Amino acid sequence: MKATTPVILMAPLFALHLAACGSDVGEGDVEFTVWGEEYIEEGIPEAEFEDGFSVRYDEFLIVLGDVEVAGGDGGAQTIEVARLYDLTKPGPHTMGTLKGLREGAHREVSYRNPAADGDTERHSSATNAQLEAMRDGDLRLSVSGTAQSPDGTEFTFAWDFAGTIEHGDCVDVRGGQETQGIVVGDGTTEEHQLTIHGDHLFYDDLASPDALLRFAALARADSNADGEVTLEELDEVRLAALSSDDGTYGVGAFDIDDLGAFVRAATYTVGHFDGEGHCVPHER
Amino acid sequence: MPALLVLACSAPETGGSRIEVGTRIQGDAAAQDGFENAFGWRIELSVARVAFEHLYYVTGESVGSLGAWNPFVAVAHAHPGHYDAGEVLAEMGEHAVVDLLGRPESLGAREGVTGAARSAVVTFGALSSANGDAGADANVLELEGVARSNASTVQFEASVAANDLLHVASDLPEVEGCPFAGELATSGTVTCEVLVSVWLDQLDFAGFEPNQDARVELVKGSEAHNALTRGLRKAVAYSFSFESENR
Repeated sequence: MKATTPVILMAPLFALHLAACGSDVGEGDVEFTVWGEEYIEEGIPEAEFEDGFSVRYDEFLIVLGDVEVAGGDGGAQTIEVARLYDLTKPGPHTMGTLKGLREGAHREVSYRNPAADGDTERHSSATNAQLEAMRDGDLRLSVSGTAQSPDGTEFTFAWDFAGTIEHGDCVDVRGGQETQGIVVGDGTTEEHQLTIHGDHLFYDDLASPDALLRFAALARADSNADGEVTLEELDEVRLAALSSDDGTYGVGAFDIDDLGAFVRAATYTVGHFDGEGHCVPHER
Repeated sequence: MPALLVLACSAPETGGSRIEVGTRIQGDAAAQDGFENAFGWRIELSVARVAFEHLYYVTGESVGSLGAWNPFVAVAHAHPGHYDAGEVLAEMGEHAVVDLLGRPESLGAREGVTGAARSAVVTFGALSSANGDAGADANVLELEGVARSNASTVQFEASVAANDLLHVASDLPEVEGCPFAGELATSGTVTCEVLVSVWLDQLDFAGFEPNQDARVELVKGSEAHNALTRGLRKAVAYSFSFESENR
């Protein structure tokens, strides 16, 4: 039979050990920011779209919080507050700083995109009215803007998304090298960024690395021809009714059959880490 | 299938042990018993033949399985929304024509390595060719059946060619990222269940004249044929599981 040491005895010994070693281990701070890049702040030019459309966001309201760093010595630390940001305002925007993290690798970095509630705070980029609207709708993301076709026709959109998405297992990608989580240096303050990719809402494939940006099929969903493309109108467009000229609109392992569900699924992929770094999205 | 994956299969870098992995392919219960699709049509099939050329069991996580996050389970990383197949653990690599209304088709075991399979890649073959290499025009699927709704009865037939299913990157008739949660810890058998009900779920027969005697063909380029090919391209239309030979 394997001998075990009672946990109640081990805990003080472990704490004593940590205290004794404390003076030998360095510490550093990590500041987190969030940025929507030029695509959200300035727009996505027609050169980026396969079908010649362009898109300009008027609002890109997103709730972000529970930024957690763990998986290293010293346990987990979290920026718990969830705030509403309007990423069309020039950034990067400061989220907060985790102080006194142990020097070395912290392999577990995650953050949440939760539905707004009474505890959600407002970042200076967003207004009180926007925060109230997000709370009233239990929204995690709300985007509005205008898409312009090659012939100059404009289509507006204002799409709300509920639920909570967790972005876990974040990986930093720099210079082709992937780092699981982050590495904290002794005596340093390093910046890491939650980077939000606004172009993903217009990808024509939910799983392919070769996905292209398109809006033509979305524009045709404007069934009442009032110039606004609503999520409800997108819900009425079956993917089976799209031609190959409209784009692949591949769904990967999502079991979805209409454009509304397609755009909702695309929102799961907007959250990134340090530019092109990535996390694994999960629904909560 | 990306060349990198094939190389990974012949020289695995997973550090796993060698195992033998067989494959069994079968239709779902809906193929046998009939089913009602999203448009309320009760569909019963009399012919359902499909040809496969390869099945790859890989380490990459499928895109779309947004289950509860488990920080203790390592997953292959990919740019969000971009499927990355990772490494091949095992494969089915023989031309196989499967009658989805018949008994499960058992195929020979091949060498693989231990590891956690997180998805599968399905490559279709030609129905008419022994080696499956009959060109992009070759049919990979044939269906015949009847769809009933209230007083309407529509007898139909359909075929899907390899070039209807070409993957934009590989230019092969394949479906990537099919969900698979299997621990390939020992030798055993992978079961691929083909969900015919997913293939035909978005087919609305309302546009067809009811017929009793002659079958209508789902013509390539029509919305009905498009619905069928989109069904075939859905990764969730192929359900994979693994059974160890030690059980």
